[in-house]
Amino acid sequence: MIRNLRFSIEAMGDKKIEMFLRWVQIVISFVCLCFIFQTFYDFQSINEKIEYLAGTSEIYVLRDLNTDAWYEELCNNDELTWKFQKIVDVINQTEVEKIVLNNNYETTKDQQSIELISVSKNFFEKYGVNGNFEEEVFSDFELRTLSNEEWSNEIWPVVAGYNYTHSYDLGEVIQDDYGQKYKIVGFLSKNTTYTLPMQSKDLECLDAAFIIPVNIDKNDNGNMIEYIFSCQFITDQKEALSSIEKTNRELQLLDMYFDNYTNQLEYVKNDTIECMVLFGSFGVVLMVFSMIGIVCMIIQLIANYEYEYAINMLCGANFGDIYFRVVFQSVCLIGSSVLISFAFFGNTKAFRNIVVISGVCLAGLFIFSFLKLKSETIINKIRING
Amino acid sequence: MKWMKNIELRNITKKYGKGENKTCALNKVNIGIDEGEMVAIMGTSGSGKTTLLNIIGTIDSWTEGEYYLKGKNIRDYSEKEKAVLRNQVFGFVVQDFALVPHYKVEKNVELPLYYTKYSKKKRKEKTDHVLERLHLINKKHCYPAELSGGQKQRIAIARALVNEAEILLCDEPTGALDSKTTKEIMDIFVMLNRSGKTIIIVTHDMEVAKYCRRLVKIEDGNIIEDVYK
Repeated sequence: MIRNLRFSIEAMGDKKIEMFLRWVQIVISFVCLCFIFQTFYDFQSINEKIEYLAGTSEIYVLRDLNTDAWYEELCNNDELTWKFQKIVDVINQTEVEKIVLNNNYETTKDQQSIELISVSKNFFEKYGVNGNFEEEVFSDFELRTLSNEEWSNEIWPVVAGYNYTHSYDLGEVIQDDYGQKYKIVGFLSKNTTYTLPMQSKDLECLDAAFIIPVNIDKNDNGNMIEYIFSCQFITDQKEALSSIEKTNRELQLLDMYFDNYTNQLEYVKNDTIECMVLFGSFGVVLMVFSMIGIVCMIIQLIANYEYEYAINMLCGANFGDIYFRVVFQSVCLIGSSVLISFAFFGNTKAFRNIVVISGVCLAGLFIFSFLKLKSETIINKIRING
Repeated sequence: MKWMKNIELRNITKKYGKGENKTCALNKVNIGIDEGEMVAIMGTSGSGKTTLLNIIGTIDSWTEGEYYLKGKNIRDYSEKEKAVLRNQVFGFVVQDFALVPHYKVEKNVELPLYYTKYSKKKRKEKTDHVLERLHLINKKHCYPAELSGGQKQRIAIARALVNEAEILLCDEPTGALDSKTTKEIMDIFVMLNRSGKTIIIVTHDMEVAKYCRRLVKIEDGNIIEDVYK
């Protein structure tokens, strides 16, 4: 066994350039295949998440049609503040369940960027976001209406993304580079994602994010505008939102209209299908060429060296010695390629598919090499391949 | 029956193919070869001489008959044990040299020693010894493609000898060589025979056969002549 191991390693060393090129070919194939699988699963995940959200009842969001110039005017005009306050009050008084989700902020800590996502307390349940936190945490996410200054003086409760589980402890109070304090009240599970209809093609990962409660400063027009467009209304009765539309019309404030998830879902699905067809066509071609490449390479690995194997058998190698060498080289090539894929993608569903594919390749190789090496007598191998 | 010869083949028959396409390469061949003999097996192309040699070297199978090596029936050997025979008892020299093209000379000669328990140092010693004996020590870092036909054949002979094989099986060892090189190679075989090696040479060349003390003629799978000079 040790002798065979030593000889196999030496044999690979004799052909190191060729082995390296074959290894690169397999690594590229596996990584590309993994990427394609991952993309498909991401698209699938997007669809599932949106369908989960829209599963129980319709969800309405406000579509923003305002120009940047109009925004600037609205934000800087203090005379309009009372109008925004009125719309915000109407929204809060509406007897319709709503989710608030605003992902437009970020901060830095130790010069590392952290995405801040401000949410209402029902965000976790509605978006199926799980993690290591107690239900009491949700009370920390009650809607706040503090001034920006007051809010900055608060210690913000934070449910931190998975990446921070080894950096901070539960209950720890930390400070970002701007002096804002945060108290860690929970951590999310690994690879927690969400999607918004407006950004339908993207699956947003929360591993590096801080989730904080929503705060509305009713003296800040910009803040109130952000709040308005961060609301998602859960209702099958669109008439229940008529008060918001009516108030906005009367005040002649914002150019907006209600859109529902069903429409968004159609848009998302069409968009997703287009992407999947594009990716799928490209992916199928790549996958076919990759598999052909790997299979041909494996067959060539044995066929090219059949003469060498026959001479080794002439000199005293038995079938087991040669078979071990072939198996060892193949396992090294394919096994190390699988490890590289793991380094890129981690233990994901896409990577597990690659493990299965590599297992099938190895099984095929073992059977093929066994049959090929057994098929001819030593002397015929030398004659045919010499 | 007492087995007195080192190599005893009794009623060996070898058939190829199936049904109506069956070809008989050897037909009830009986031959015994003693230790230290130098035997030439002659015949035309397709006569069965190479098949006979390959059966002796356990690199080909046979259909019927018994083959005894040093009194033990070869059928009693497992595949692993036959591999050990090829490593320790037999040395092969074939017409196209059978050298691994991407191994250097040193590694080609050392190949049989990889399947022994010798240390790396011991393997190197034995390889260098046999290369010196055949005046090839200065070629040990060359590839086979860089050598002449005669040098390649001497490398093949060195490989056959490196593990001190008792029996050399040579299939047309001079077939690809000119007359001068042929003489050189045959002189090596004669020298090895004088040192006690058993040498069996398959050839169609009478000039090569003249170096051997025993001539076995084979035709259509049958031995038609077996004479000692």
